[in-house]
Amino acid sequence: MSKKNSYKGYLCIVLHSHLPFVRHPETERFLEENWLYEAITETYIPLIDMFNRLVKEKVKFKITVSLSPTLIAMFQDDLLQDRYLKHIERSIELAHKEIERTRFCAEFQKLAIMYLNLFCKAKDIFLSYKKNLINAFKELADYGVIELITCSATHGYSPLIRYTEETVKAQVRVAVQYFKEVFGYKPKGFWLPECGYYPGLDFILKESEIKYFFTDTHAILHGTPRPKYGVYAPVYCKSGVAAFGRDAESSKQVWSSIEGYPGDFWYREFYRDIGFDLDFDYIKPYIHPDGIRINTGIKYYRITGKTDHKEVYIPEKAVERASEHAGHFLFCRHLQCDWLYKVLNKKPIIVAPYDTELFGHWWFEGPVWLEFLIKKIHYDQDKIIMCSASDYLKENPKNQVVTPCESSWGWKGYHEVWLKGENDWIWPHLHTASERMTELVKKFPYAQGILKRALNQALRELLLAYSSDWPFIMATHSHVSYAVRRVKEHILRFTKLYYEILNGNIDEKFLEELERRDNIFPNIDYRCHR
Amino acid sequence: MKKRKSWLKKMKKIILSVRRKKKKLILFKRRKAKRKPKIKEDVFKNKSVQKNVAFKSVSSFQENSKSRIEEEKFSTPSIEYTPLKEELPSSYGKDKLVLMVRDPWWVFCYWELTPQKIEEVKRELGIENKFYFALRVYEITNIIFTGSNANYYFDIPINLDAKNWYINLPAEGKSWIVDLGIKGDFGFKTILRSNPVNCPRSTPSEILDEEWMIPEEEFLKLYAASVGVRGTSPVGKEIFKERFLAEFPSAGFSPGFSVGFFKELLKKEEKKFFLEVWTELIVYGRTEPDAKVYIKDAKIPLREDGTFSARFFLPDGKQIIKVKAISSDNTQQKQITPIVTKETK
Repeated sequence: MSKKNSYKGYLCIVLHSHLPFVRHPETERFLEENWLYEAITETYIPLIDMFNRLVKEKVKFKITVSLSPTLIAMFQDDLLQDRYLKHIERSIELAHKEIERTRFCAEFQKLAIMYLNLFCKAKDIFLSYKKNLINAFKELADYGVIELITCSATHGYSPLIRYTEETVKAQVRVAVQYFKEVFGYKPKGFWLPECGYYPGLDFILKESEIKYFFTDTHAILHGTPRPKYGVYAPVYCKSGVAAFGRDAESSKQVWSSIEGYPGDFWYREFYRDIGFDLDFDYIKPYIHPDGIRINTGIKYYRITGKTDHKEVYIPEKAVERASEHAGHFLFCRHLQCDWLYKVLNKKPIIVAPYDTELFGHWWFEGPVWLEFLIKKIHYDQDKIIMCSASDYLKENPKNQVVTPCESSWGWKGYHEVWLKGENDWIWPHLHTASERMTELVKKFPYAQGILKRALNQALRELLLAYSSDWPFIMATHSHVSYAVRRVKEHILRFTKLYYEILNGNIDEKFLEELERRDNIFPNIDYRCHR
Repeated sequence: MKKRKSWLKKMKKIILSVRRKKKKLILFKRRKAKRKPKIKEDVFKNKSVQKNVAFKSVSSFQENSKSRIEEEKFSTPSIEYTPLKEELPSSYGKDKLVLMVRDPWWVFCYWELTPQKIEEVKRELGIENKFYFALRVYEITNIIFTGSNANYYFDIPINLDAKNWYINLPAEGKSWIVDLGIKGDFGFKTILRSNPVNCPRSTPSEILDEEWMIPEEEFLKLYAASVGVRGTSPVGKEIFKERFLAEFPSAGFSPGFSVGFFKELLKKEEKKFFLEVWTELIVYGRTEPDAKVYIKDAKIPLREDGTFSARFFLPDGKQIIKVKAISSDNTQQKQITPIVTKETK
């Protein structure tokens, strides 16, 4: 923020990072845990590495990073840390083999060497933070280059939970409390899972001292009364919490797989992984032990075009494209700022939120693109500055009071993704469990000892059942059986605890087993749920 | 309703004029084409909703693709898990009717009605036949609902065993409450009443803020910009390119840049019947266990018995594979050079 006062607008990039709690001590190599391992190698470590490089080069920037409590918990977990280490070591071994195997074909071998370097670097960085990536985020936040915020405890979708509002409150309270335990301070901002907002939710955030949150574009545009500055300035809700609306234009440039940058023909093809392509006997040790082919992270092709035929990936060319795209993105923001500055008579803020995993995991060149963008903003111009929402509010404390409109950033803009034929059956069960939790809290306001432990575990199970990922997955028709299983398991575990607590015969062995398995939020307080 | 229609008209005009200026009509048509089936799927009875350009341009922009990218988080193959031994209960023994908002035009309700309750109601009314279950949907915007003062209501006959129902609403941005009851010659008898809900709107508010006034025209422009249809983006690709290069000479935009720059770059086609064939070559042999072996000048490990094998990806063309062994005391050396030619027809 120290740039001369000549800038005409603010750019607020938000990276929302989340995965559901996927931790299965019961099986040594559990398929769905790969979601986490892939994300660590391809997204989180490259981003951390890139941010650190920029810090070293003394490039000024500010990115808002939202870390979901489930992701924080997985980063902190010993079992998953050790398993990741084994995972990355397997990847390194495979990369070595690939370098051998591709000896007759220099263009492939060059890529195999690139992957070996990436994997080795990932392992080094992982170990340098003592296997806990939270240390990396803490450090970056201390440098002041990222602002850390969080979201609902298990990424519950508030607009559909609200019929038992105690659970919405618990989602927020547990999340803020857990964040504070891990980072030592309360988050200023809050990411609403899927940007799901309904009027009144802001009062619950207010209670946890949250200062701002993000919504989709139409939440602000259709807010009451009409917002004078559209989405280019935040509004205050009646609770006094600020709401920042997403800018559609900048989102589309990056998000859209059709019109957006990630679809460029020179970029790496996500769907061609050697885990699927290579001879079974050769690849077997590196896929799932049951012989299920999975992504290994080694991919040799570029998008090429709309054909099935794919050409070999050329990293230099892709980096060049990333640089061009970063330039284009910035150029568009300049045009946008010039125009808005004229129309608004005020410096606009452009809020550009993305799923963190877009960068690196799906869009391999994403981190490089972001690095170029940050550098171009720092070196090549002074029209816009990067800021966090808190930076903005510090400079611009006076804003209009508007009640945002109920909405989400999901398909069609409201709640349909999480409430449709494929997943609507979960809600009666979830709401009933929530009512039962409220009943327990009322009945046992001062529990101690094993009763308290059982109540705390009941709340853990309840929250885990509420991850928005489960209905989302059911709606997308892949991994359905896993998602169905997770919802049912957690509700069944909750229900068993509920009856045991009511009947005063808590099965300590069963409780211990659950505490060991679903060990999220070690210091949870069941009384949050009221 | 009237107000909204006029609003939509204006909105449409602005979007169109902006687009005409930008000659981006192709893009517009494409989006329009994409939008249509979605609306169809919803069977909107409300015609004004179908025309709602403004709303659609906000929310359906990139959502499809965003969801697809989001799905890739869960990129392991989907496997079938064996179902749990225990199942969730099919009912909880509690009479209950819950109403949930889905979007401006739809609400969802689910219910549980215990057999005891049904019996009780039947007994009370003394009905033996000629009745059916129905939902009564009350519009209760801006009133404190007493059960008889709704702005209006409508009934939907239901199958009780369905356990839930999606209700299409005649208007958006209103408040609703639903009764589940029995209907017959005697009229409608309420059994369960839901919670009230407020549905969102899909257009800007008509309420203006005196302190933060904005003229209608200005707001419309801003609105269009906010949903990604900005009036000032340069039109021709030449201006765009020139300005771009002037501002960021280092970036060096590549040729082929046009307005349709990002058009349809990637579309994952559904996989049709396909065949993929690759070849690998296995080179193996044996020598003294303590010798050193090189294939194409790179050392490879030997097994304890002196055998070795290596597999290579085999591209088209001629491969000269020099295999060299050197004895442990470096005094003796042997070389064999297989030559392999691969071609694909």
